[in-house]
Amino acid sequence: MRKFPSPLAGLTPLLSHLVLLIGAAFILLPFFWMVLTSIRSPSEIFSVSFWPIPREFYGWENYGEAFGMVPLLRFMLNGVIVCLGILVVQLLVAVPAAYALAKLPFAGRRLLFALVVGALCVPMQVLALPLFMGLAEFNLLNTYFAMMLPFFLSVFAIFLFRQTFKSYPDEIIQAARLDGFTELEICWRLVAPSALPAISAFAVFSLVAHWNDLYWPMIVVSDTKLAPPPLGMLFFTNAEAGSNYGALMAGATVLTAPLVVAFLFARRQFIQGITMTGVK
Amino acid sequence: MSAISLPTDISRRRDRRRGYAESLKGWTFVSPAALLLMLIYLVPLAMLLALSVTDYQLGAVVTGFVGLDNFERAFADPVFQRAFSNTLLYVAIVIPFGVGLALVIAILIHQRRRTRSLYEIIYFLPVTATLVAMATVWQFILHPRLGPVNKLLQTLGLPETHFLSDPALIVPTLAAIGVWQVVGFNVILFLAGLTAIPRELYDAARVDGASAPLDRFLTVTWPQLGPTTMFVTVTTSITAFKVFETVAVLTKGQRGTEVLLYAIYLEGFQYFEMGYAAALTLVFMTFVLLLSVWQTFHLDRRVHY
Amino acid sequence: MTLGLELRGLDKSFEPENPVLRGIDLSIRRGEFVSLVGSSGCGKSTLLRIIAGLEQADGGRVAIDGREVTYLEPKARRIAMVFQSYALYPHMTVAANIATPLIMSRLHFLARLPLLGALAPGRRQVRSTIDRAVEEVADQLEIRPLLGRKPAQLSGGQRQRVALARAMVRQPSLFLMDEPLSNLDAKLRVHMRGELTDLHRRVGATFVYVTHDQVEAMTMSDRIALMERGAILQFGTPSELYSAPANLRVAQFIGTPSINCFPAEIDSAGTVSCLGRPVSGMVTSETRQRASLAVRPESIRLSARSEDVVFGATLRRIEHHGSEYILFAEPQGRDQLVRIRVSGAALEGQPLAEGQALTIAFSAADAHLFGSDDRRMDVSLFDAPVRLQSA
Repeated sequence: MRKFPSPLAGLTPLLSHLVLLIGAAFILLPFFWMVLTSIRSPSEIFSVSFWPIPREFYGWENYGEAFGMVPLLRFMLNGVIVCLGILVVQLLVAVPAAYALAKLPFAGRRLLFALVVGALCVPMQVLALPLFMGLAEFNLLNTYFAMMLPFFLSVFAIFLFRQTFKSYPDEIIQAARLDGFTELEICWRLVAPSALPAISAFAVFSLVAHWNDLYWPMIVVSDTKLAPPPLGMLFFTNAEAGSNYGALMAGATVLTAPLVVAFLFARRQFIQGITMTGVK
Repeated sequence: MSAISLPTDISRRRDRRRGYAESLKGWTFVSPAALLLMLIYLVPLAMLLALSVTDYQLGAVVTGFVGLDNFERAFADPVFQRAFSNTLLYVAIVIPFGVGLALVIAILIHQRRRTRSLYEIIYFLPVTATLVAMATVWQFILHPRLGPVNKLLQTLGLPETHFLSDPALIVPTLAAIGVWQVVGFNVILFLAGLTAIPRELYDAARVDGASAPLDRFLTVTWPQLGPTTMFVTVTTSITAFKVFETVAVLTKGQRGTEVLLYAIYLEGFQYFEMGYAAALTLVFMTFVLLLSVWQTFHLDRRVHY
Repeated sequence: MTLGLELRGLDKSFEPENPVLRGIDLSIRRGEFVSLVGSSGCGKSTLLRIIAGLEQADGGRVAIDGREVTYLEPKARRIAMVFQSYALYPHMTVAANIATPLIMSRLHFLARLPLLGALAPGRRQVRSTIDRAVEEVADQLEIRPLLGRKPAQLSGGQRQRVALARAMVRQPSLFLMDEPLSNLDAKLRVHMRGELTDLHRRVGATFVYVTHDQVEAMTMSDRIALMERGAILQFGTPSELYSAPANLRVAQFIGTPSINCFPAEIDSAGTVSCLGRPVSGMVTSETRQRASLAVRPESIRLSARSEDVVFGATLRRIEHHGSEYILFAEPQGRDQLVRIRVSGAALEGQPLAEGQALTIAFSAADAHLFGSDDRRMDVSLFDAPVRLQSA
């Protein structure tokens, strides 16, 4: 909106920039300090200087130590395995279910949908105890499977996809049936591709949520070799904290980097994926 | 009458058979989801209810029915009481700041044209960053001797502050980190809400005489953001209620910093007091459910659609 | 006499190389109903927003009732505006919507604050006068039963009335309307046209009405300003615009079905020829250029008189419009459809079939001549028959 000539007119944007920049400093402080510390020498770390350029570049030593102390790459590989495993099963389960709930009449459809909505209100943490006991019973603790199992069903994905699929025109589905498509083909080759924006937004949401999840891995995994990034970070903090902050911050940088870099490259998709879900 | 008309009872039977076929098709599509729903939600919830009235401990041979003892024990337990009040305090700080600051920042960002996406990126960064790693960084930043915050306080002539060990400061410090993490998420939601407000409404307000920024805010922005504000408040409170990572990293529940989820974690997965932990879980669940229902109901009156 | 609205040399551009308004001058008498008409993107809405003060012109002056308001905020201009989407506050009742402009102007800032405002001294009296004013306006527009409702519970026509009431309540001297009828269905639109005209007569204020619909402008306005590409092509009464368009594009914009255009040429003697043959009887003072000869559909006849311009043509299509017919005829050797409006009575006993040969004719007196710059040209007429092509 255009402003009218007024002595304050030039001041307003300046003031709002000032507020925004103060907020931004608060937001960026940990990132800045993390990266800065990770390339500083111990002596400089202990002297707590705000000067943004290290007097002596100590990155090789810190990062080398971090990789030597804990298997950072292994943590990330674990994260990739768990996140992708969860996502693939989530989609394989949720897409057909959402299609049936949106487009196929069957007895019990309303009940099932009511259960899905009800389950949406139940946080994962509530189910942790019995799920843990079940997994312990079958000797499945300390496995990738144990880390993934509770998330194989995403009621949120079913809910989201059902809403999206509902707007797919019935005429096209009927025409496809006349053309001899099987129901499975209609679901996966016609309806699902049309909902690609919703599916990719959900994928981003799911990957971010499970890459960053600590609670469940902390419960079912005690083996360092299986730890995903957050749990690995926790092991790192607990075991090696001591006074080697350079290495610790190097480790934190390495484990945070993948998602932050991915976010910077696919900003729109990230923001859309994480906010459209609204649930964390 | 045409040649294809059938006696009604036959056609009805065919209809029914086709209904079964349709139902079958639907069920094959939902069966994996339905199975998992049983396995992951319904059976565990039933187990949880059953556990909460027993004194079951993992690996125990004998288990007895204890009625509501677990719940009584919970409310008499000073640790749980502390976890409860800490969580409430945490939520009570995170909601007003997490929502209020986000609203202010969103309005300011919304007015920017060229720098808008830059600010969006900055404020959204904490949402994508791994919280456990960032909590470790916060711990270092707030370190009494090695952290920049205390260094800054020192140069200002203020005393050394132990953010993470002074009992009066721990929960507010955790809450500040919680606000740091959630604010960008809320900013994006508010920005979406602001973008959806029709420009003509602001024009009408100006013609009607609401030209001061606060008048415009009260006549158009705030009422129009009603649904967004409600949504943001509910999600923020639920997120705040589930605070866990920062506690796990920064204090491990020591020095009186238990929160609900961490207390449950300790009872269930460290001490293996399954029956008691189940009771605590139920308390936690009712609270999360009650909270969102209550908020939805009360904030609903402020929303006018 | 003071003018209700005076615009002098208004310029506006959002991008430097693409001006939206170019030197707009307009003088509107007090109490006049003036329409700004033009196709979308002609700048009419921007002009209205500048008059309202919602947009600031790059250059030029705006005066309302003889008072310069160029740099004043909208609220200080004593205007009211009705928006295309009505822009009612969705969270307020109809009564609160209508009261808003009065509350904003009559209650002090602190008295308007929620909760705190109730403590302000004298607030109650002001509120009760405001409530009376709201009820009065509601009665005038017959929306009193709706006062307690929210905009979402109203039909399109009712919202329209509420928007009008909100505009009327503070008795502005200038009403601005931005396509207020475009969101209504066709029947209601015709009805509201009549109501707006009545309202204008009753209120006696100056109205500036933006529309892209020339029928709306023709039926309601005292005068019309026809705009194109940021400039006013012609400003005049509906009948002036119809019978003496100052510009070819005005002629083409006004009237349904639209006017027929034929390419014409003017030789060095000022003689006009159309389709390669001289139109005898038509001479202009300007010479040597390409021109256009435009003829309204109702001025084209199916029978030739001696002095007429005459074509042979083939009838391509007939449209029935109840009391009249629109014929579409293709002149021989030309790829163009000529629109002809004939009354049903004129065609009685003269059955027409598509594909049949016709003789169509118009008199030079009914033709408008436009120069290569699209401006109207003065012509002198002599009585002399001409035949372009014998039928």
